[in-house]
Amino acid sequence: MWIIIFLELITFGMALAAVVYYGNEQPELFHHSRLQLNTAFGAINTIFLLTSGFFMAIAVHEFKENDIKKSSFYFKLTMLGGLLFLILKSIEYYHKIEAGISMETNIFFSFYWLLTAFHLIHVIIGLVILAWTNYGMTKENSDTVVEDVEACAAFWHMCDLIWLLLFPVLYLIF
Amino acid sequence: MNENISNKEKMHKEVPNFLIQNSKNGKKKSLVFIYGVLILLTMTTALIANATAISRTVVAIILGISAIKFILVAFQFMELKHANVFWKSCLLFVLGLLLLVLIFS
Repeated sequence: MWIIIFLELITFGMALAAVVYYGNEQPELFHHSRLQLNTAFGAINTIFLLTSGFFMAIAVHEFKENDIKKSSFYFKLTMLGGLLFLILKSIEYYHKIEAGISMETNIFFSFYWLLTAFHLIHVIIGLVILAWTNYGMTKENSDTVVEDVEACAAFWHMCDLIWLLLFPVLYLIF
Repeated sequence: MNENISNKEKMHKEVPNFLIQNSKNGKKKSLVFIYGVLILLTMTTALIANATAISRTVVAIILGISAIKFILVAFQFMELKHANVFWKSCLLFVLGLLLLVLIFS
C-alpha cells in the first residue's frame, strides 16, 4: 500500500513541478488564470477532505477497539465528507464550463482540469472502497480484519495528501 | 484468603480497563487537536494568499504551511508514525524534494 501511495504522490508531484515550471515561463497568464478560480471553494473543499480524514482516523481507532457500530458510523461520516467534496467540485466545474473555461483555454487550465479530474477519480474510487469496506465489516460473519480497514484508510488519506499539494499550487501561489 | 485473591484479581482487571479508557480518550483528544490545527492552517493559507501580493516569500510560507499539514495528516491521521522508518524517511524526502522544486524553480 505504501508503494502505491508513494507512486501516486511522485506522479502528482512531478505534475505540480511542471505547473510551477510553466508558471515561471508565463507568470502573467498563470496569475490571471488563477484569479478565475474560486479560492473559497478550494478552501472549503480542503476542509471537507480534512474533516473526512479526521473521521476516517476515528473510524480506524474505533475498529481497533472492536466497536464496529461506532466505526461504521464514522465510516459513513467519512463518506459524507467525500460526497460533499464531490458536490462542491461539481458546482465548481459547472461554473467553469458555464464561463467557457475548458482544457483548451490555456496551459494553466489544462493542468487544472487534468490534475483536479485525476484527483476526483481517486476520490470516487476511495468512496467505493469505503462503502465496500463498511459493508464488509457490518455484515454478519464479517471477515474484515484491521489490516483491511487500515489499507482503506491509507487510500483515503492519500486523497487528502494529494489535495493538500494541489490546493496551494493551483489556487494560491500564482 | 480466597476473598483477598478475588479482590486482587478485581483490582488487576479494573486498573487496566481504566488505563485503556484513558488512552482511548487521549488518542481521540489528540486527533481532535490535530484536526483543529489543520483547519486553522488551511484558513491561514487562504487568508495569506488573498490578503497579500504573491511574492517568493509568500509562496514559501504558503507551501511551508501546506507541508506541515501534509506531515500532520500523514503521521497522525494515516498513522505513518507507526510505519517502518524507511517509509517515514521516503515520505519526508519526497516532500522535501518537491518543496525545493516548487519554491526555488
